[in-house]
Amino acid sequence: MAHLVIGPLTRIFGHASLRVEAEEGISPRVRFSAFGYRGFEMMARGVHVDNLPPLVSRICGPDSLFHQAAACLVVEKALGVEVPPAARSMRELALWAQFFERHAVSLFVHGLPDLLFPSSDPGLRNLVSIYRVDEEVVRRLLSLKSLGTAVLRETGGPTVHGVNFRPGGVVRDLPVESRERLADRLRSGESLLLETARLVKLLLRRSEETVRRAGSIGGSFLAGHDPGGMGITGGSPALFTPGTEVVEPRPVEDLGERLREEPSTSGHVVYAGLEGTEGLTVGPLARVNVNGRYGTPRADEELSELKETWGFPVRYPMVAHALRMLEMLHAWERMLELLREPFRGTLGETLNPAAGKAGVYIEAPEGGLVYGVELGEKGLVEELSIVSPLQFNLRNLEKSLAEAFASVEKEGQERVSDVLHMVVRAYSPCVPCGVH
Amino acid sequence: MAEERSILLDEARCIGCRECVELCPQTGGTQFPVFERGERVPRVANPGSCLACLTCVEVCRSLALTVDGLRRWEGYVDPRAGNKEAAIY
Amino acid sequence: MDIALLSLSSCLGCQMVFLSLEEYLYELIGGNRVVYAPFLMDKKELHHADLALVEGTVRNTEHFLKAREIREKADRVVALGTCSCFGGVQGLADLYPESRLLRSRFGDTAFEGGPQGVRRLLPLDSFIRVDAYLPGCPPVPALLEGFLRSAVSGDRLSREGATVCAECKVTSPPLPQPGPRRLTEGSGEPGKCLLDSGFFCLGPLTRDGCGALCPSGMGVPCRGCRGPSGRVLERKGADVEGETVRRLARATGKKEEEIRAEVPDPAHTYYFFCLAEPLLRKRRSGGTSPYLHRLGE
Repeated sequence: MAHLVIGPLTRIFGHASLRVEAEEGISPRVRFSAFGYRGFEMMARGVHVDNLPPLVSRICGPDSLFHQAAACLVVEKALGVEVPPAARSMRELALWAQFFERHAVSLFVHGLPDLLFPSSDPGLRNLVSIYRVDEEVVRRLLSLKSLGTAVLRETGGPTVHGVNFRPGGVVRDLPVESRERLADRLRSGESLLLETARLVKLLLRRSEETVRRAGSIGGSFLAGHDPGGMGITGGSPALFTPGTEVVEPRPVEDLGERLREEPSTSGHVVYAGLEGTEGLTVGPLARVNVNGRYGTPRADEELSELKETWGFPVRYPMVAHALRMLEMLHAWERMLELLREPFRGTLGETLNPAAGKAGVYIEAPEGGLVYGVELGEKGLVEELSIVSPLQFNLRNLEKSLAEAFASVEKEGQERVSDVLHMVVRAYSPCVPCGVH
Repeated sequence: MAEERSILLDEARCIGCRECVELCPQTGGTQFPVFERGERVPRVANPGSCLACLTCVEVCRSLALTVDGLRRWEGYVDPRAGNKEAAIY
Repeated sequence: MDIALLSLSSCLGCQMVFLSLEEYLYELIGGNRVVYAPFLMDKKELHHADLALVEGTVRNTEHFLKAREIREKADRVVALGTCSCFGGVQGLADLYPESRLLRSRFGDTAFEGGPQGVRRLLPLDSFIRVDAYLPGCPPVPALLEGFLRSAVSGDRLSREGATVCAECKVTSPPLPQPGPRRLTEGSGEPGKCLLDSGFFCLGPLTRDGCGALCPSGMGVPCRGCRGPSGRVLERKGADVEGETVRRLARATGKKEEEIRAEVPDPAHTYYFFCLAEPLLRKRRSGGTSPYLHRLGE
């Protein structure tokens, strides 16, 4: 059996490599291999719930607030606490900001350089090299990212591992002056944001061959069923399986019972799936396929054009790049809406220690993030379980990689490596979340 | 009579917790207390009473106190090579 | 100057701050060569670097080999972030034997060709020689910028350290205060010292440099993300737990035993970011030893 190892993978979030197993006459198989389990579930045992959000935050820097939010929500649900609306809005604002920032990095730092310079040496497709030939492009792209960072700084203190979320609510509100300043800052990026959205769209169309090479995915899509909010503050997940007689997304009320995990022998990312589904996808594709729209005017206008170009439901993993751009637009619109809301009233509820058990589903930038918790008599964490987006997407990712490999196998190792990297970046897997 | 000492309080650093006032052996119930409670921050009233035990320096959470030019840990760089504390930014 | 930026076992948070340097980032990448940075570019191998910034620490043999390779190829190695400097939050894994962590997650799955885990999580300098440390979870952009400026100009890579309280813009409230308490019971009064208000704030024992962003700016008690202050690291007698308990007893007017009885998770409360730091292990009183799993278990 011919074995090829591609790695360590570069321009992705974290450490991983690919192991290609190819043999004459048998369809190739590609394994996504990432090690480095840190044991966060065990570390959480016995902690006071106040220590839980900062703990899980350290699973992943770029997605830190999503882990914090999931931890807060699951504790609140277990204790039957309703968070006041002001705290919910504040959380949503910070989450959209990180959503925006995470997508900006995954697009501009990781994905976009391939689409910009497909025929140049992969070693030169990066912001550092591009900066040497065109400072302005890099400055513009990173200035977009900094819109999200600015909101993160004001809403959470430190921009990575912010400190404003706590079980029961948030600690601090955002004063009116800060709101106005941030809204101005966001609006100042409007034309650049729209221009960049146009660029991404064009680049993707230009790369149609690569897009098709990375194949298309079937199976079911799982996402928070909640246009507008997209379930980032906790929502009810729904399943959509195109091509079957069920044409509407179906709510998944028994997610906890249907969730299945199965260790992989090639790494520490455990496969996750739902009983009764095949080929589950979460993330930008799933969100758009389940909801059909974003719920804000700019993003929806762009979406209708995208649907015309690439069809709907969206099945090409590479189109996720364009969807991330649309989600950035949506996040931008939502942040402006939230900054306009007058925030009044209490920012949090007092938590009384008690036993309880709960599970929550929220949308992180790359898809569903599931937290389950059991609290003991004294309100301490007894059990914590975490299922991250990469775990859901792992099978499809490996399937897309195998398809792409089959299509470029004959073109030499360099080309194989290049194309497989592009496929991985389309999924934008978060390895730290995946191995946690 | 103790030798005349100088005790400096960096008011910008001091948060006014007054642990120094409480723990100074030459302050509570003495005729010439080293520290007085002061307004926002404590006041060094009688530095002459100081025995240089350095309790206040040790206990100060903001490293705001200096006795005879000795602020223990701020700027303290161990000359031994490979010392972890000496190489932290 | 040739710069390498890489991560071992980490959350990538420090690299995100690298991207938030704004104007200085351009100065840095314009005036120097980034020769190796897997997060940012496709260079698969490092040949030589003048300065290597290493985020995260060693969780398995793969990380160890990488760390050793970097040590050989880089003139100066910097431990970037608290994981690298003191073990960080992932150091809490040392509450349990590594084999138990793996078993709890993977059962008896046999991995094909995977790296071997290390038996105990430790800071980077337990595996390779480190020339300078920049703690912070993550270090705030201004601190990272100041550090990089010194590094690029060849200045001394250490800084006079104080404590977070020295930078904290608060005043002390009248005592006694309710507590000991945590944010889940409600926030403290803005502008007042959180420790003296009865919260578990590690400001007095934590290195400064963050501008006291959490306690001063956000009203959130310091959890010690910049790692132990110089005094705590250096002095065998310094006791993070004991000193916090003493100050909370003073603030709340309660007995020390009463304070201790209200902390079900002392390792997380006092050593959230530095449980794995060997310098804190053996102490006359306090220290991390009681919380660490014993090797060989």
